[in-house]
Amino acid sequence: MTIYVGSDHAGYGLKDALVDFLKRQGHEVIDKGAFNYNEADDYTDFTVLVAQAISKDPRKTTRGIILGATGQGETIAANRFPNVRAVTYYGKAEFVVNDESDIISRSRNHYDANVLALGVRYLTEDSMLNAVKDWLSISFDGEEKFIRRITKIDAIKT
Amino acid sequence: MRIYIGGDHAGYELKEKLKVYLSEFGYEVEDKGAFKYDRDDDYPDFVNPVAKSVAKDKESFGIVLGGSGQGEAMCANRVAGVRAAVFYGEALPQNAVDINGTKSIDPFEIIKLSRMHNNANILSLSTRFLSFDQIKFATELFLTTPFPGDERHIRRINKFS
Repeated sequence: MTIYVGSDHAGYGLKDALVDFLKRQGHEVIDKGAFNYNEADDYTDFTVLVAQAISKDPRKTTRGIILGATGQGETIAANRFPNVRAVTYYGKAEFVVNDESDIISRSRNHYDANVLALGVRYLTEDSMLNAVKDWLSISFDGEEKFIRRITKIDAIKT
Repeated sequence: MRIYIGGDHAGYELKEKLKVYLSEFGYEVEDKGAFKYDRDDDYPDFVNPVAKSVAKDKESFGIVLGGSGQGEAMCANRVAGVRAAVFYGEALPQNAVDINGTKSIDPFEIIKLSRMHNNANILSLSTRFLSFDQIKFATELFLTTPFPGDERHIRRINKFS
């Protein structure tokens, strides 16, 4: 796959580990920055670059991964763009309803999420890479009700 | 303070309970549906009206409830002026350092940060991964945490609004 990666200062420390991992997995990685540590930089700048790329090229083989402190601002900004379906991951969830798939599987199976925003404040390098590995390996089954809902999201004018 | 609330079949039961809870606190709650349980209904039909209302009514907040909260937030964030944050579970910072450099042991911190950094105006809650007690606590925390309006956060928000 082609994977666009972006990160502000909060995620910067884990970006190299992520990029190395993705390359070892055989993906083409396009790094949209940050390219040096600057604690005053803005998550929006890197999020927009990744989201624009996905928005213009929303093929099944194109994804985006954005690192930030919580992943929330990144998800908010990314979802402004047509064709982008971004989810926030900040750690494993505890089920209260049995037999529910976890956040990562659900993001792919239900929403065909093509951007993953990681809240690195709550993740270790290992938990981040495991989540990414799972996320990239799950294909969207295309169940009719999920397609119908995604179509309704796509119909909302940004 | 007006609160717009909405959710599909996955959120229906807890939405109905949360509405009562919020009303008891004195919030003015406007329900955008679903108005009955229908296991085939679609979350965008209820989330979009919440999002449009929050975007128009600048002093208001939105609460949406769904399976994981992710699709709901995705849908809401399509609307300019909406900043929807997801909450699907408690999480402790790995480095136990909060934004002021002191230790944080608050597992609901991500909700506070969504208000303090992102000025989130919609909270998207997961009914599959949260108990009703967690939902009540999360909602209250969200509604009572102010946005301090730090310049760098305003600048970042303005770049995409």
